[in-house]
Amino acid sequence: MMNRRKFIKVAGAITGAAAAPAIISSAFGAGHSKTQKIGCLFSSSGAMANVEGRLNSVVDMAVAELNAAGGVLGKTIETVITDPASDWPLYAQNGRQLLLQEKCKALFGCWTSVSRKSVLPVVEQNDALLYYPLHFEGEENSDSVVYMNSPPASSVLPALEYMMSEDGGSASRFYMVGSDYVWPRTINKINKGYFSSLGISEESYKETYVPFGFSNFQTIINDIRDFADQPGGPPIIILTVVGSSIPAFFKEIINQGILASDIPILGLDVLEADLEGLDTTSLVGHLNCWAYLQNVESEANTQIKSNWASFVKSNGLPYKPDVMIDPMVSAYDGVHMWAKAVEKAGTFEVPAVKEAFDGITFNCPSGYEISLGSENNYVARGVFIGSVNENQAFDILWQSDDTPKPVPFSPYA
Amino acid sequence: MTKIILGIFWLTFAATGVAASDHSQKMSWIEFKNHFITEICSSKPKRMKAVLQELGSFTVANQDSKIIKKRTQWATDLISGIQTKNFRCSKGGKTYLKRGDKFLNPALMVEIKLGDEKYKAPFLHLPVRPTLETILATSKLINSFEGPGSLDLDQLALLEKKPDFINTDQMAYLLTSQLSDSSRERLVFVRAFKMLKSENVDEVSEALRNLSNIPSRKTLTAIVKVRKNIDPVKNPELMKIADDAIAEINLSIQIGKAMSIVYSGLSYSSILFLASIGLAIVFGLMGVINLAQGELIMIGAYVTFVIQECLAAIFPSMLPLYLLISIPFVFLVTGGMGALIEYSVIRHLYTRPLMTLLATWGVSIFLINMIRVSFGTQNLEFYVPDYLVGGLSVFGDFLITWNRLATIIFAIVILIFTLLLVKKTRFGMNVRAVTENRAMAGAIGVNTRKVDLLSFAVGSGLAGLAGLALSTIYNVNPTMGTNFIVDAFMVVVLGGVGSIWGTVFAALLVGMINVAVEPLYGAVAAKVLVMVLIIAVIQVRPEGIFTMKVRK
Amino acid sequence: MLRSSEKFAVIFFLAGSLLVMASFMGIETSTYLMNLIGQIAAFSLLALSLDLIWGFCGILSLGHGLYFAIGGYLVAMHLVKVAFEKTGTPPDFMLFMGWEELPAYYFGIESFAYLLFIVFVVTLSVSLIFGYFSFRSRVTGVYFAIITQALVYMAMLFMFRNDTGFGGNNGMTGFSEIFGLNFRENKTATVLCGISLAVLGLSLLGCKKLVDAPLGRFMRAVKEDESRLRFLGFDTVYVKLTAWCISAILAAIAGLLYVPQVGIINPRVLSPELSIEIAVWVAIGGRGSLIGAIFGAVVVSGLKFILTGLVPELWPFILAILVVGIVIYLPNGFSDGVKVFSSNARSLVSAPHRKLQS
Repeated sequence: MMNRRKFIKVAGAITGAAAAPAIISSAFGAGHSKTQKIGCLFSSSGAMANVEGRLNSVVDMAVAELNAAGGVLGKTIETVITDPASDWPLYAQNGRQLLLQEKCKALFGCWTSVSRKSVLPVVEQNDALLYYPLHFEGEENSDSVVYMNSPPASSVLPALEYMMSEDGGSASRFYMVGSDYVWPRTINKINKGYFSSLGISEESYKETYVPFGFSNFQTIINDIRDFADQPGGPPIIILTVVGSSIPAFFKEIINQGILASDIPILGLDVLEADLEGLDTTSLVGHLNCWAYLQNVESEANTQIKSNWASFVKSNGLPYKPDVMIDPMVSAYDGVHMWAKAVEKAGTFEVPAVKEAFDGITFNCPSGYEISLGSENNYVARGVFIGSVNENQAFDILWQSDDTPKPVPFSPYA
Repeated sequence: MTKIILGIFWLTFAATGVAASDHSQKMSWIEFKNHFITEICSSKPKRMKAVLQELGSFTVANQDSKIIKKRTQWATDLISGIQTKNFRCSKGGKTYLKRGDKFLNPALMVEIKLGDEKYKAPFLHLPVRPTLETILATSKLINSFEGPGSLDLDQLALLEKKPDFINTDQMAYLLTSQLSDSSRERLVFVRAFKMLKSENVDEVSEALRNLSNIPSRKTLTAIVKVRKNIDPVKNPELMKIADDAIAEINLSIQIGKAMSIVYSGLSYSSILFLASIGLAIVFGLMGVINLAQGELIMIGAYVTFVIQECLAAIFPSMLPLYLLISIPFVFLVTGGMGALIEYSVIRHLYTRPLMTLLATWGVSIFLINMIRVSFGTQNLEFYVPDYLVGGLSVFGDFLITWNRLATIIFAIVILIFTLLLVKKTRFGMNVRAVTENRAMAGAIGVNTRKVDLLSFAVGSGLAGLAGLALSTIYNVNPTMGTNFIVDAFMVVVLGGVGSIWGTVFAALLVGMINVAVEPLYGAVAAKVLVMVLIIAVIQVRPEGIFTMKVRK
Repeated sequence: MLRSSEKFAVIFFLAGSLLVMASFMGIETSTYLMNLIGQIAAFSLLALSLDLIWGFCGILSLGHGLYFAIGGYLVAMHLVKVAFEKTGTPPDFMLFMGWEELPAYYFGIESFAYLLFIVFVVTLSVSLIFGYFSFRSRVTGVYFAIITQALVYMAMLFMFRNDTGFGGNNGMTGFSEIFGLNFRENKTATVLCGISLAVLGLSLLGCKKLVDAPLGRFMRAVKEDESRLRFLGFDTVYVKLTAWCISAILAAIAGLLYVPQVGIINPRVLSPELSIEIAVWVAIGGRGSLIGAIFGAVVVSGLKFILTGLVPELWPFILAILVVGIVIYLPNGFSDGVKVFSSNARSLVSAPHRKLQS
């Protein structure tokens, strides 16, 4: 057994050694002029790590592409990755560190709305930029955030419209299940506003919320079967549970033998990655809606998928090389759109970069040319409705003609 | 003039109408097959639905049993092909059906060479799926039926779920065959849904009687709908039959509901029991709080996964049995890991039980991250053997799902195993002795160190088995254990330290309360209520409901 | 060792006061550093509060996040209401719940004096009720730890709900100013940091006085052998209750100082993990040593801030090894280690004896 004194000395030495690079890097980091840093705020540990962690690597990959093409304004871009560990205040803390200590000029980060909300004051106070890759509840427009994904009015409502059409199965009754937090609540509020504007009676829909991380869906699915058996027309489930609740919900759906032809599910936060652990043959036909689906046929998409596969392999990352999800693409788009704005502005200084936003476009892997306008900081993107197939992915069922103008504040909310 | 134009309009309209509805009579089988393929390739939900029904009628249009067999075979092949995307169309109207690595002409089923064209599977919009599934099911039933006997239960169950989409002609044909009583009864039941819509009063009353035999919310909804249209003055008898049926079904539904709550409660309780039994033993024996228990559950699931992958690679034929094969491995690996934790960490802390909380918390963080680094954070994919998918509809809408039943049985087996181990073996006797009076047990020659080490290993092994049982129900990822740890503690504390029956009782109580409250006030309220209960119980009985008399 | 507590208390207080003065004289400081120090000061106070009850009274609470959250949520209510009144933009939760005005219990919270009063009242009543019933039924040791955890878990589930008026899962953010100081200004961070340090110094001094006073001796007696104390005719319930309530109020003050500095509060502060982490700080720093608890909080949260940025992949392993290693080899945390270093023969001799304390 190691004696105490020795242990303490060793422990001290280890801690010292671990802390030293931090001190050195902060002392010398500022002096470099050939590189420009950008920061990543995606959790690679904790509850969100399952889906969120891989976005760090996506940003890395996009930066590698920029650097391979000669960098931005002649400077090499360097990514600083932190791990906020799914701990919301830590997002703010790490964000502050990235901006003030590492002198990052732009942040790419956050998955949940809570994490964004916690970084928001930091970004606003320090006149920085945050590229946020997720679709969310909308109802926000900070000029320090670039919202890379669609607000509900331009993604959820088209999907509902489709499901209520004859081709979509003339859905007329709606069971809304969500995790109990702001995104599902706001989405369902918008849905309800939309229903009542169509004259759908209150008996035709029902909403339930479950706690975060909830996984015992037996009783709720019993209740859904009950709801589905009532008279009044074809039912659908509008699923807004998030994170680990999604596969748990699907597992129980499979288990109780409910097929898409019985009760279709419109899973608003369901990604290819959520289907990873599931046998999807019994889930075929359920729907989701995003601004990008893996099966899109476009040159840019083939390119990003093969780049990702080789990036994962060459760096030995623990992700499936053949799974590409919307937030990954959004984060990727974010890096490129930032670089374009910087080049347009001719400087890395944030106020000038913000000025340059209007009219920035990018050829997104989704096949649309996405763009930033002058009215708000939301990127205009196309919308897809996908249908689960046997291969743990989504077939494209419907897609918008062009990129609808983003409406951050829904008229139904 | 206008009359003539109108007349022409009328004629063309009528002609197309007739043409559409009479395809099956006028076309030959081969013509129909080509027509069917074109319609499917249109990807238009309405046209696909119509042509599928026509196909259903066409398969039984000829009375010759050989022809029927041939046609239902074709229907089965093609519809399965559509479902699995092995049937594809090109823009230029060419099609193929892929079988193995061969490409066939779908109408003639002969091998063809493919050109350069791009083929796409016709898209199945949601409204097409129910029709597709039912026509496939009925075609399969007719095709595989070999004379007097019973029908395939899986296909029948499928029909029961979607009676509105069944093809009437196929149904009529099936009912003319010589069927076993149980199969006939179920078919008659399925047909009754359609008969309810009939104009004939006798048919409706017969349908009502048939429906009330197999009560469910679905039949209730159907009957209530029909009852609205019954004129009480004209048909008082029918009205009475409907009312009786409704009352009978209502009662059955209530009973079914109660049974389903009890079943859900039981299944949730078994999960809680599995998660907490290992903890209860360790806690009771050593007063050690093992916050890494959840991670041992997680590791149990990961070991199961590794075994599954090994089997898939080496003995694919054994794969369906991987859950059983994994049991000893999981128990040994997690047990060994527990022994390692005991030897390297817990051993130093027996005199400081509160410190074990912190040390095992550190261990749990270590384990989570070790797994995260080596396996990644994504959910693992478990092969779910057929015998664990689906369930049996028992009464009303009460569904016994196989995987939950398996969990309940597994929990009972573990309970018996633990009881035997503790009550009947020498090791168990030592464990009990040490639990009651550590010093005295040591004095009379029990090697308390060994007992500690072994029981910690057993407790950890049991946690690992819980992970095995949960792997097919819950998501398996590095953080899965944290979801169980708080619940498991509550169960152990509520039940009383070191009492196996206390743990059983507490798991049942917590499980039942959760399931009973959840549908009424939501999942959060259920959890809060359980917490309040536990805090209250601890106030009255500070050491849990079942406390063992222990000399301190 | 004990004597140095007073020295540190004075240093903290003076440093804090100096910072506040400096900021009013217009001296620019690093916002990042100030913010970091301020947050760590708040955590240190939290660790101090747990040490008071665990290190001196032998009662381990794994739910001290509850009191931290009470302080935090109340100050967030204050800040939200001030922001709403000043800027006119309603907080997010009002928007998505469709509320026109803040719920009735926000009445008067815009006044800072009332805020302090209400923090005191709420914390005292919660800790008094919970403490009285638990101590009266003689819930001790591991059981007490578990039910405190149950309580904090329950509070977290409750706060996850959106209809409570506390922002649900998103919590509360979007603060604009605190006592007239805009959060965008550099000065604010310095002032908050200064105040946190000063309050930490004062609390440390107060705790030192408390543990040296007769009550402090009673507390230690409870820790050593509660039943013997009871047999001797002392009512231990009130000793424990007093220590418990003081500890709870200190934790609430820590929350009060923490939230304005991070700019957000949400139910995560109520997660069992955070409450365990507080115990880890104390265990690492050294139970029963006031300055040790502060040291633990500084080291662990400081390391966390640095290492999550530097080696995010390795941080969890470092934490785990640190916790396990210290718990096993240094029963009284770093304060033990310091003694080993100073090679104080007497403390080494008495070490095995100390092992018997839980």
